Amino acid sequence: MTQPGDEIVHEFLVESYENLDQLDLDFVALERDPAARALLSRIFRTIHTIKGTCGFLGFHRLEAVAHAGESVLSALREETLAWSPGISAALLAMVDAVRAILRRIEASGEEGAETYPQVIAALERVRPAASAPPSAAASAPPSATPPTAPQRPTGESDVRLFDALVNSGRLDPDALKLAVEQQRKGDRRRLGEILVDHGALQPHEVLEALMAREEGLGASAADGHLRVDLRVLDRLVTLVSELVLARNQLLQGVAAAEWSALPVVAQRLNAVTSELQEAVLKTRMQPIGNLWNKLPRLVRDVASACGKSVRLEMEGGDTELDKSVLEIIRDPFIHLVRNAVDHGIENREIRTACRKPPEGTVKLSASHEGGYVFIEIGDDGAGLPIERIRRKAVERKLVTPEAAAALSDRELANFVFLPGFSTASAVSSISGRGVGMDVVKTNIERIGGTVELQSTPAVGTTIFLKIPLTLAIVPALIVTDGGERFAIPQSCLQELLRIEPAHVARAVEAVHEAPVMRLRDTLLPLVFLRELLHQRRAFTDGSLGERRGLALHVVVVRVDGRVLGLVVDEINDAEEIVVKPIADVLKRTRVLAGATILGDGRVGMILDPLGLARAAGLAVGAERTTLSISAAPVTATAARRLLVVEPRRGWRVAVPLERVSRLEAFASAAIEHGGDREVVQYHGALLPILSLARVLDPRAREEAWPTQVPAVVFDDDAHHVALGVSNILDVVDESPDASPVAGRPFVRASAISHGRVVDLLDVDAVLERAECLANGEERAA
Amino acid sequence: MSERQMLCTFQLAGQWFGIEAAGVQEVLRRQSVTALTWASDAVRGLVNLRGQIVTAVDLRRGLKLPPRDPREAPTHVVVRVGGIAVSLWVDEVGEVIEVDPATREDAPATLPATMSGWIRGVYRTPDHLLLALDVPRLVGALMA
Repeated sequence: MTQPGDEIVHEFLVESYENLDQLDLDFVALERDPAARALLSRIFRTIHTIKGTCGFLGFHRLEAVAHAGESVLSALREETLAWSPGISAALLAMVDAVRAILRRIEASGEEGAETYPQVIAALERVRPAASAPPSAAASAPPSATPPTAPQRPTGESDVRLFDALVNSGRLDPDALKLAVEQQRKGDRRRLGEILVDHGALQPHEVLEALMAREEGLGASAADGHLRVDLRVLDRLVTLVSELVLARNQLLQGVAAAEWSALPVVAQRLNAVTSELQEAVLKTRMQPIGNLWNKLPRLVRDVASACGKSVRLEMEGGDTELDKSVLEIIRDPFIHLVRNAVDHGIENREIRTACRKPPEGTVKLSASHEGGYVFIEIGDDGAGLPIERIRRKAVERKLVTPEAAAALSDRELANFVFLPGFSTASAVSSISGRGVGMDVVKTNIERIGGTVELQSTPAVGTTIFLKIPLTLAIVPALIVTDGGERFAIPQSCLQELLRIEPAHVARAVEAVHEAPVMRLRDTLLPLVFLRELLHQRRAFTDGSLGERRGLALHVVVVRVDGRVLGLVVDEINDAEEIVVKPIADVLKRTRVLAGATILGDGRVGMILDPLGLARAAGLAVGAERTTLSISAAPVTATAARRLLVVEPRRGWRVAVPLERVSRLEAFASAAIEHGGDREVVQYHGALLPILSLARVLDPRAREEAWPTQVPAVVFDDDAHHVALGVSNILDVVDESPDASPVAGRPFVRASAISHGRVVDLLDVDAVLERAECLANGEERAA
Repeated sequence: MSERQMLCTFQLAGQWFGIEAAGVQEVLRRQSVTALTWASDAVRGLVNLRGQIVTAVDLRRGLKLPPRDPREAPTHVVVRVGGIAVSLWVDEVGEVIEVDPATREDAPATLPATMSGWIRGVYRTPDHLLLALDVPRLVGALMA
């Protein structure tokens, strides 16, 4: 049972943590601009509120600390005291003490015995004697009175505050009237005190109301709490009512057996559902600035601890990502920023000697692109000691001396991500840069992100993070094994292979009973999903025997620096899946990350790539493929070039570049409608234009063209048509290992490019279909 | 104190069992199940219950009773245990009956050991003996 008092304390903690985060920011800003009175006022208010509230809750030690801080702040505000670094340090120490006490209260409900005499003494030292209030106030705990706030305008706003309580039915309007009357008659007490005195309100109700009003001050939400934009909630309510309407229509249609009405209802349900999904996900989105807010203080502390001056620049703090993603990247991110200040930036003397500005810069930037957030953490420091890393890599026998000599700086820099690569004793000047970097990498990769590092000697180091916007929806590859379907997050896919029955015996060999496959120049360990799930030995004669005469489907997964081939019965399709939690008992097998509901309503299991690698590591033996970090994969020289486009966002297809005549962007205004056909003027002739999505998927909704239509023009002897797409992405080399796909019209094969599934189109079939449509033969077909 | 209690009854291999009706969320007939053949013996798979993924537990297997005729589809009794929905597979669901906890008798000593740990007691009803099943304990053990 939680007591009502616990709830108030909890609220107090949440509120105070938020305010303290803002306080750190304000202090750092104030150090740069000591004249900013608005900042000073806000700091004062926060400390004042904490002091008032904790006095009320009976946390007198906390109150004494806050009070000492408040006195100094008050003197600063009244300009009887001038800002100095000493004051700043004393106040920050006070904030840390407050935080420490709050944490103790959170853990045990008690504020503990520590009284922080040195913190209070430091504050009293910096405060001129004249402005010091009677010291009794600091030491003697005041009686438990409701929080008072002298800075707040009295009267009017108090009445408004209590109006809210009346409206919510917690306060009798007559009691309020009586109290206001009493105040008017000369009672100098606050309305809250009078009301509590009359027994009309409980003290905690006054407190809650006050806190509700203070709410606007804090910028970040405390853990477990989420602030949602009211407009987003309104939108949700609207969409849910739409959904209810659509359901009613559906039920009516079904009841009356009016089947002709159903397509319309289905269409409506479809639209509402998609919008609702988007809106619900939006509620979880938080600006990355919430995380960044903690950094100025961190940078300041780390910099002053190592005698450096460092400026923090932030760009794109309004970039939003899912709250849970934000939580996961918090620690890795703080680690990286601390590293940049501690190890990246040189001290003043060295910087001056290198003719760099004495003040170092750490720059953070964030931006969105295609379902990912890209974050850069850059410093203008010394860069990584590349030669030392090279020596160390050879020492640790990670590469041969010859190979090490051939490695590029960039490849060498990535060695710092190996577990325990740089230890303090071994490479002193980059100690720390290496410690924990593997943890950073693991955490980021666990959520489907990537970490890269670029370092230029004497210019600086930049770390690039690519992080999925949300964990709730994941692009995945669906595979079938043993009659059940599994989803594999696309972020870890490297390629898809299909080994024809005739080649299986030659392609798959056993090394110490572990099956491997020769993939170009490397040996790819093979794991049979079914055996992995049953925790059987990875390779039995049965594994292959069961599949005799069948082609082998291999999903090549790269995770945690290892590459392994997962053998499944069938490779199906790419799908965006919604991750659902599953019972812990099922997670214990380690290979399942969760479950999802597939298109047909059945449950599919999501494989955890990291768990797969770990489980496979046991099955294959401790042998690790260490080739992954070395040279780039060998690409076939005679590979065809492919153009990758998105017919719709998130759906990637590729066509051979040699077939494409030109890439164009047509203004939608230039698209003319002639009957059923749409055409554009192109080199003095009329060129039919169609949406590629509609050509490939006859069920696709007809959508209006965007203002600018990126288009792929096919213009040769046989074909004469432009296909409009959502995006033209890239030109890549065709992978020789694309895996053939059967049963999907227009798709010849599937391959992986940049960690995403790409469908290779059968261009002739697509163009044929496009021309049929362009000639209005759709209805005939 | 004899506060009457509502029990949801069902049959497993010819024996009647009862579980607290308050803990039962719903009873479903046919459900498509994604098999988890490698999980523990009694955990049979996952079911999509209106967007929520529910673990299916076969009570015949959990209580070490003879297996069900594969041609007969089980009935799913969805219960909430510790905030998690679990679908219990039973042979057939009977009525919800009212019992007086004061009339509960100890489980007979002849009950097989594989079962006695999960039985809270026995009620006599006009038609048959009803074994009161301790669902949280049983599910906790099967899914531990």
